Amino acid sequence: MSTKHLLKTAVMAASLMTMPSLAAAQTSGTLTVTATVESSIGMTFENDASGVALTGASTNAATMAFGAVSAYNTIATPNVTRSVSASDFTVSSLFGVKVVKANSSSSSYTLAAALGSADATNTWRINSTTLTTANQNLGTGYTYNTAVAHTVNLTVPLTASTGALSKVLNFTVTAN
Amino acid sequence: MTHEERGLLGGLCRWSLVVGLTLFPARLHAQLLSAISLSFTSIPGSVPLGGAGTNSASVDFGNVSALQPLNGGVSRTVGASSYTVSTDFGVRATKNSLGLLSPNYTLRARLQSAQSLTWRVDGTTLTTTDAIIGTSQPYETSVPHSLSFVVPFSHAAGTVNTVLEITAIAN
Repeated sequence: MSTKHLLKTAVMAASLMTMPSLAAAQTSGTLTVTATVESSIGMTFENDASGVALTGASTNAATMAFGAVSAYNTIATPNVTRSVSASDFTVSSLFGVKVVKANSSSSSYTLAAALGSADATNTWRINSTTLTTANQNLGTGYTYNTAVAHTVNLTVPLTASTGALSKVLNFTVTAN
Repeated sequence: MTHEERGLLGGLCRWSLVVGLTLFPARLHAQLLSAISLSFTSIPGSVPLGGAGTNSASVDFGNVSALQPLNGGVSRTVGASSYTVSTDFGVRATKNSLGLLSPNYTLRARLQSAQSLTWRVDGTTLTTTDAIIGTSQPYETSVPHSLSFVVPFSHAAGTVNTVLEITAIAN
């Protein structure tokens, strides 16, 4: 066999030997990923088994509808309680506030509430705290991840005119 | 030159060729490794990549949390004890004349180093070992892939960094 033939054979052999390498051809790249994990808390309003059913329960924008209330007529809405005094009557209902946290070392939270706008006629209270348009502290040391029951109380003077009323109550949660 | 000398010279030539051609395939192989190339691309509606169009890109999710608003292009699902944030990125593989025989490619991914958080590409959880993300991926097209990571609520706040190594293998 001549050197020429040997060279041809060897080149062909080398080509065949490298064919599997074609199937293994590969390329790589790197993707660097960055993020900053932040602490966060969130609150939701929850139904209380003994309270008025909320519209928008388990969200942070719920509605509690007392329905028709009066000093002496029957209140049709379930779980609305009433007390009547010489000058006014108060209707009440339980509701829950649930606060969750993530990526936080906080062990408890403080809850505050305020009226969205002033009410010159009626009195609004959460638990025993009378609300104004400024945040009122409803308590500290509340526990995360569980619905904590609170009571909303609406006191209506017997002298008040009849008609619909509504009020936005703003709640603020602060991690301790 | 005598007959014996010619024979000896011919033998040396043959052995030189054998030795040379034994080494030669390695050089060919090195050339074939570049038969395909890979680059990362930004996907509209997702987090824009730093270094888009290259094979060394970056994704910055910005501030992420379970409950606060996120940057544009970042989506989130919140579970009972963790949340997952995700965005899409594109991979574009191209082949040159040396890769003409390859109809498509397989995509693999891995973490360059172990991470405390769970990282996924297209739902496949990544480790430091290559995992197949997709087979029969088309060339010359930006193929979108989902990149996500899971943050337990119990995870401390702070910076998260990881490097993914993405590999395209010609089929």
